Amino acid sequence: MKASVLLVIAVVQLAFLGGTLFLLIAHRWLLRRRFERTMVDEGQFVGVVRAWLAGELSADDFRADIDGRGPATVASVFQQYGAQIEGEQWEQLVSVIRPTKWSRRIRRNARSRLWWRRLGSARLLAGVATEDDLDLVRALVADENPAIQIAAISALTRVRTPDLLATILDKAVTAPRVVRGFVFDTLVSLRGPLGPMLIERLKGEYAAVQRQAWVTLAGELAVPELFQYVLPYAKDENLEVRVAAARTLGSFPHPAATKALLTLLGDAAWQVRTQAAAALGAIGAVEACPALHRALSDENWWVRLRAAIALRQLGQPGLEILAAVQAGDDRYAREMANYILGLSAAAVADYAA
Amino acid sequence: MDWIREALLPTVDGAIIWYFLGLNSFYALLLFLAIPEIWKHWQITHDDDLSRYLGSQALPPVSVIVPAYNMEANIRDSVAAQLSLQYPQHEVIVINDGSRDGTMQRLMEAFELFEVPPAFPRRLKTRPVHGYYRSRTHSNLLVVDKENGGKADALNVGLSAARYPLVVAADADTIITPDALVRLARPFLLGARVAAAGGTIRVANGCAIQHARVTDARLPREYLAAVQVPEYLRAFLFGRLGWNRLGGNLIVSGAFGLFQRHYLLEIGGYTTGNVVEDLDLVVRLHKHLRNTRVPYQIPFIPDPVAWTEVPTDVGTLGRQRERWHRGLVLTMLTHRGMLLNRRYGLAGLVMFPFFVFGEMIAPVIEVLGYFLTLLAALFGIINTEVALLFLVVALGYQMFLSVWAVILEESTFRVYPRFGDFMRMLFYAFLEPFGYRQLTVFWRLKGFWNALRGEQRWGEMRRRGFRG
Repeated sequence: MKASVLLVIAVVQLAFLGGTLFLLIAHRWLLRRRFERTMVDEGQFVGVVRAWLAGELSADDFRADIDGRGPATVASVFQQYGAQIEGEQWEQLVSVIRPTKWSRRIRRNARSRLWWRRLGSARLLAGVATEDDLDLVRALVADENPAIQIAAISALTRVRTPDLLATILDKAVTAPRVVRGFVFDTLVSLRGPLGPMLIERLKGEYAAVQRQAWVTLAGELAVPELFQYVLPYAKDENLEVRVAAARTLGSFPHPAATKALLTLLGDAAWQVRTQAAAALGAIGAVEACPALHRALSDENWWVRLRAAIALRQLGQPGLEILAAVQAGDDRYAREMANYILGLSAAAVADYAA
Repeated sequence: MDWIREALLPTVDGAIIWYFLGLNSFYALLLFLAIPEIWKHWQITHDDDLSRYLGSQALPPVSVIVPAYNMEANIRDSVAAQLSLQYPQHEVIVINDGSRDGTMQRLMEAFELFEVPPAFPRRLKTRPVHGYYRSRTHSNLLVVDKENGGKADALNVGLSAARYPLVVAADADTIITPDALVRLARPFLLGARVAAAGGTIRVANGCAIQHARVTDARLPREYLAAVQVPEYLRAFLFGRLGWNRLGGNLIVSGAFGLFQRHYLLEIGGYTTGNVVEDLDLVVRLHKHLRNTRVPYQIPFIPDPVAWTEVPTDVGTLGRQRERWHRGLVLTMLTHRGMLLNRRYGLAGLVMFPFFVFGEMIAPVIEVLGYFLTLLAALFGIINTEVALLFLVVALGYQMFLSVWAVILEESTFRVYPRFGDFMRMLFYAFLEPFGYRQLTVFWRLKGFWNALRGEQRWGEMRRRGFRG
């Protein structure tokens, strides 16, 4: 029994090892040949792109050339030249790429059952989507696979409608923090349509997690019209919302913002005090110097650090306070002042970022 | 003596064969689970435009902690390489762990360091710190000079001084590829609840290296280094990827791993005195997160790559493998309460038992098998046919796993572009079971024995350093 089981395993192993060895070597050989062909193809295509960029090739000739090439070659060359093509030329390029057979095929994959095909489609649409693709983009940004969502969201810079933006905005709120940050980063480039949408939400009544998200996004947009709607959140009952409000007020250099931040600097939660100190430095609130001076003696290390950095950012008045603290009795405040005064300007800017 | 001949030997013999088949079948299961994982990662990473992430402020900032001990020759290039990693926001914290050579002096000169007051929160108890230094040329560099206390102690100092929510522990003699950080942090963008993540470690011996960057990947020329290439591929590309589908990894390499800093602080940082601080840390992390009912993942991500120099002499390699196994045994014994404990979910029911019954006692069983074969020969009851077939199957299994690791590598990353290197990699995959495997079994058995004796030394690691 044992011998027969072992014999079967040994024979299967031998056949399998022989087969895989042959396939591996053949695969390597085929790859090498394909690589050589691709290199030649890419080299030729680079020449065509250069000629088109220099105006030596008509759009029709360029279209004819691009249609005959595979998506891999086109994608590879455009990764090299993408940064050089923008504005009208990019729109021309989009109009050339979209009618190709492979582009149509990849865009149709947006409705594929296979996630990697939908991912390829989302990546292509991020660069070449038009209003005609709105339904596809809508489906992709709502995809269950986060990699597809992330890729598709970039298409919003090319194609969007208010209802699509609203859907994405409301969905992003409940996403993990990093994903939300990435979505907000993309949305921030769409200031125009986003502002009124955000004001509507800041005025409404929402759960803490949503309030925090709206306030954070308002800070990233930093549109003056949003300021009056953010200010009340400095008195929010929720700690995370107050932290977000303190951070966001750091984007609005306004006397009312300074006043609210000074109140937040006395908050019971150290997280809020830390953020308030950083925000006061960011908006250059010189009138906050005495409060920041007191914050150098805070019981929390992070509050002391942010207060010292803020004082350094505030120029001469802040530097004078730090110098005075260096000679003071409070050991912790002295150490922090010594530390921050010893840093280079670049290190302070790095800390403040 | 008849009971030995008729009852004991056949029973133990059968048990060993079934243990062997069971263990290798589990490896095969890991391999099959690794295939969809690597396919998924390859599809996501292939053609992905990393510049989108680099241009975004969404990725959490990272503190790279680099413990350094007697690294005078390479420290400047190594730190410069860490500082130039592509990432939206990262700082580098170098911990000079009481080096007896000119490591600190070299750092002072190369990065124009100046001492800053010790205004850092002391979150973990460590050996005394002599001083904190900032750089005039690189605002994101912090150097901490401390009394020698070992790697774990140095990492704990780094954890205290780090100011970002993610920390990457990286050895000073490890070469991290420039885009590895952004690749390692990408799971956060995919919404995963990542507590820690490990990247791939590859063998740097034989590669062309300039300014602490691998510029041309080659297979090493020396036998001992080259034979470790398929071994590393096997360990990382399917060993750890397979675990992604079985509840996460029980080990994140100490040479290159990413962690949520607040979790490490909650568990008290690294355990000083443990010779495999990385394994111990991840086991405690699983334990803590399970106890506190925090949903989490500890995935292995195959595309971020760090290159490391592997030992090329038998003595150093033996000490390294002995230490790894000794640490494994000690860690398993220390946390034995997790074994088959439902409270720890897959970590307690699958991962931990595999490491105990599969990894920890494997060398003991293997040597027992050799011994019983000899005993059976002495008693004249050996079944030559079965013994030879078993040998063929045992070797075949190992080759099968190594060749599959090469297949995974070939179908995805293809790090070694030359056909000659590829053929040699295959050759070493076939050669590994002959001699090299028996050596590692001996070292692991020695580690097992030394763990039971309570041995705690690290052992001298001789390295040639990177040339180029």
